[in-house]
Order: sequence, then C-alpha cells, then structure tokens
Amino acid sequence: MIDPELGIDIVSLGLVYGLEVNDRVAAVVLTTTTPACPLGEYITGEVRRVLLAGGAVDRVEAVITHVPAWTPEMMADVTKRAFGW
Amino acid sequence: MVTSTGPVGSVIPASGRTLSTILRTRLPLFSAALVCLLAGLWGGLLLLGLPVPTLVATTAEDHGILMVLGFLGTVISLERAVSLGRPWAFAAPAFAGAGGVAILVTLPPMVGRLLLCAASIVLVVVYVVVHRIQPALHLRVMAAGAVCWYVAPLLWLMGWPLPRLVPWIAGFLVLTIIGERLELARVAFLTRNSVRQFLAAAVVFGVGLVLTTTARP
Repeated sequence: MIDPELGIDIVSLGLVYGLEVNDRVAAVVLTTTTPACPLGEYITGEVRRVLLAGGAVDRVEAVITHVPAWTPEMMADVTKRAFGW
Repeated sequence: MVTSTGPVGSVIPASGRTLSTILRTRLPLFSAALVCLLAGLWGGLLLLGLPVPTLVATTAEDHGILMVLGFLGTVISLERAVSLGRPWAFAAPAFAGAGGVAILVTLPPMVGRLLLCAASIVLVVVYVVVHRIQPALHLRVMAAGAVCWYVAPLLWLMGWPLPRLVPWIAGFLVLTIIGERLELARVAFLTRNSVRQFLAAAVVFGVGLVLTTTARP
C-alpha cells in the first residue's frame, strides 16, 4: 500500500502502528502524517482491500488514530536516508 | 468495526460508510464547487475579452471570488471536513458552495457574502479542533489562510470593492498551499534554520496583507 502523496509504502513511513490477526480477523491500527489529511478513509479502505485479497483473513477491522502523533522520526531508516536524513 | 476508545479525536473509526452514503453527503457539495468553477472559468473568458455570451451580468466581476472561495474554498474545506470526520465540519464546504452559488444566481449580495464569511468561521474552528488533536506549525499556517478567507468577505460586506480584496483572497490560497507543502516537507528533515526562514517569510507575507488593507487605495 503506497501513500498516494509521498509515493512511499505506509509501513516504511511508520503509518502502521499495529497489526494483529486472530481467528482470521485482522485488526490494524493506522495513522496519517497529520489529522488534517483527508486520505484516512482511502488508506483504511485500501488496507482492508489488500488484506482481504491476500486470502489469509476473512475480516479486517482498521482504525485511524493520532495517539501517539506521527512524527518523521517514525519512518524506517532506509526511508529517512531516501529523504536525505 | 473497532470503535472509539481513546480521548476525543484520538481514534477515528475506519471507513464503514457505504459509497452511496458518501456520494449522498458529498456530491451536492462537490456539485456546488463544480458550478462555481465553471462559472468562474466563464467569467475568466469574459475578462479576457473573448466573444462568449454573458450569461450572468456579474460573472466576470465575481470571477476571483467564484474561483477561489466558491470552488477552491469548497474543495479545501471539504478536504478538512473529511479528515476531521465530524458532521458539523461539513458546514464549511456547504456554506462555501452555497455562498458561491448565491453570488452566481444574483441573490441579494449580502446572502453570498454572509455564507462565505460563515464558511470561513467554521473552517477556522475545524483547524482549531485539528490543532488540539495534534499541534503543528503547518496547521497554524493553514489556519492563518482560513483567517484570510474570513477577512475577504468581511471587507466585502463592509462595502470594499472586489479588487481590494484580492490580497486576502490570495492569502487564503498561498497560506493553505504553503502549509500543505510544509507538512509534506517534514519528511525531508527540516532544520531549525529552514523553519525560521519559512516563518520569517510567512510573517512578511502577513504584514504585507495587513498593509494592503491599511494603505490608502
């Protein structure tokens, strides 16, 4: 799943706070880079679509949270280097 | 569906809305924005002196208001309402779209101006709420843009001519766009110096806006 504005996958950006699978139900906790970002619905919809298409789960529960607030430090090291850190 | 478990604004349930619900609530807003866009573009053609029919007498005169506040104001405030996810936040794009259409259909001038003014107030409140969720400089910059939007129709209500509103209308766009760019730029390891330079430029811009209002025409 690629962030449509930054062109980087959401895991490398640190936007996936948690993923748990129990009894073929996936619970995903996500964030956006700012609460003013209108792409939350799009991102959760895509996460749901991709996980269901993988066939490993029958149901996906996804939430957007802003606690803790996302910071650029949460990005993966390789992503930081790509952005010139 | 996981529901809210944290403090206000901390956990937003993911999309459980059907496409039809989204279309029903947002399509009218987007339609109003589209009407303003088309009318604004038509007004632009008239301003260029092209031989197109004049459908509404004031379309050319209101070109800037229709494009920036009627169209972009509706779309931008719709984006913020979607991001916040609170029903009341959609009043901003609703007022903006209705305000643009009211100006277009030549209702009494006060109607459109008041609606545009109300839209900006709701948008400022949206930014305040979003800022409480996650305080950030880019949000304060975008909120300053919304304040510029508020000033423009306010001066218009006070009887100022449209050309003198242009700096404030432009201020809404400029501050909103640079606020968004600043937000994206955070991934590129912003230095304190670059943020200081950004703030200095923003302050100079703001002072310039105020001076355009206080200076004699």
